[in-house]
Amino acid sequence: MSAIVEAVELRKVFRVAKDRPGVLGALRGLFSWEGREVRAVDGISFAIRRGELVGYLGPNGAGKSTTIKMLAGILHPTSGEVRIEGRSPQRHRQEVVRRLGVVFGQRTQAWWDLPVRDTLELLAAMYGVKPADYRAALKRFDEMLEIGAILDVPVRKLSLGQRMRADLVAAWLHRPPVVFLDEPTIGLDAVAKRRIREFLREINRREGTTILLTTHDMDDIEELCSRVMVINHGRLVYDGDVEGMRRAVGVPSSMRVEFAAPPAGPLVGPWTAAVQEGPTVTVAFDRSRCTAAEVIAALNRCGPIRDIYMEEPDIERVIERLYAQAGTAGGAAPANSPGGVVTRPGP
Amino acid sequence: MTGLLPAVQLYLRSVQSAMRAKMQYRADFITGLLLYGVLSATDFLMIAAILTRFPRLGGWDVYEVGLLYGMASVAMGLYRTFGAELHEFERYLVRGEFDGLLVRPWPTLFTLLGRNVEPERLGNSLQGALLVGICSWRLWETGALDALEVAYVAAVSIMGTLVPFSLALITAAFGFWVVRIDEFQTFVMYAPVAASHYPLTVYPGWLRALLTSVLPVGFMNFVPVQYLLGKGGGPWVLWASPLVMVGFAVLAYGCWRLGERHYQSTGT
Repeated sequence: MSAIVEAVELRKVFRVAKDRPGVLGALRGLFSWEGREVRAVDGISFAIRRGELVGYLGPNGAGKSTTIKMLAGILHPTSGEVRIEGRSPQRHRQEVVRRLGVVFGQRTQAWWDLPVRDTLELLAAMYGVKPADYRAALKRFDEMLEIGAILDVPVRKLSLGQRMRADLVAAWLHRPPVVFLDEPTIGLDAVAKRRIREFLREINRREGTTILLTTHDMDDIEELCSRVMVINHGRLVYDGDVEGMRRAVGVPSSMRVEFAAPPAGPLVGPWTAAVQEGPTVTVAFDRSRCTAAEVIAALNRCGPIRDIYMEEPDIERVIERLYAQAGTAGGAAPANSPGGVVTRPGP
Repeated sequence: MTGLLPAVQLYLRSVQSAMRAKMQYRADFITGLLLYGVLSATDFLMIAAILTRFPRLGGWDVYEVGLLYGMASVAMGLYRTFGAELHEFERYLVRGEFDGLLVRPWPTLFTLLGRNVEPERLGNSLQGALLVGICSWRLWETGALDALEVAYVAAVSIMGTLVPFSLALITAAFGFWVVRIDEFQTFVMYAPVAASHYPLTVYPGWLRALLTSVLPVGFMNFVPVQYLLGKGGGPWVLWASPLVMVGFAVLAYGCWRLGERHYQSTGT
């Protein structure tokens, strides 16, 4: 059993009632119900292996946080099942969360008015971390996140970046094998973001922590994640590596080639467009139809090549296209099968 | 990490943090303390005034009613002190703060209660204890109560806190469905507890039935005291009353556990 986090046909339907104020409204709400159903998560399945670092992407309201909350045992799924190390966080909440770390980027779990140290000590007591292990952990985290300097500062006086560092230490204090992070880099400046990414990469490598993080930041994905899951309208529209995601969407890649001399004959190859300016030719091609090697081979037939520049599609555009496709195709695009994704001309 | 001792240690540690956090705003804390002190004293004078105006209330004299009032105050003060965070539970639902309790490896109620205590509320209990002391001393003097019965009254006063606690717990559990519970709490807790300050025999039958069943505040003072003072009921109420309170608390915790599963958190 190599999967450490599993979701099986996970579904969460919220019943959004019309807000009726007051005691009478609340009482009436018990007996009659008006409102609508919102399928926040609509039947998603995945398995995350031990030690994976997975990015979870999706537009606002796509169901990212709802998924994380079900994985962490906060919400009970309407149907389907979650298993963390083989156990349901809903049925065995206390046992499961003892081996779990959870970070919400938008709000801290720390005592607002107390120094960071107080929160950490309380958490150590809560998770039964032995004093020697606690001291060792502080030392380790001081090396990785320079936590020492902010230990005695009240949380309310910390900058956003410092607070996130404190929250990361709080989440890792009891050395959980699995950590969920909801928007860990939200609102941070570039330096703070880089530091947090470094920490996540490092701790994932050193301790083998399995990490699932939601984010809006494409750099988080590019720099950290070996795997990406994309959710839209409550359904997984992609699950695979970053490279595969680019391919799957079919955003044109482009290649700029410098020939030794301007090619004389017609430019024939598997590309979708070619523009020639003297000895320089720029071709656009679709990675779901042909490989870069095939393009180079075809260009080679046009004349001797001096230099090649690859221009990869911007991941932001890839994601935009994924969202747009999932929107129009009603989420029908099967995850992990590039052929199933409808390709259309770029914007 | 289970077991009573680690739980007690963790609770004390958590409460200690809460107190330290509160001490960051020392002026607030001291003002609060003084305010509750003054409020308690005013409260006390009010009752004294009322009781001297109506020397007998439904066949109960000043000291007998004072005993009921004191017992209810002890119970309520203990609840407001140690159940402070339960009393503020709406916030956890509205802001989705309950998330933070669910990710900790302890029962949510335990984690919740450890997050705050309000020692300034103990003033209410102390005032109640004073009242119980004065009244039972007087009743002991006149021979209405013996020493053992006075001890029983003291024990039930403290145990009585289970009733407001359970009412708050049921209200909070209700909140997992309806979210807004502050107004509801007033109906379920303040009104019944205020009613329990006086002998239930002064109320109409349906209200008396309500206060000894669905909102069982009668068991924390009136039911056992009525028997002790020879005003009705059988000796069985002496063990039945604590039993009802414990049973009610168990029921309330069941509601809480059920509600917890319906928690919907909040959107981001």
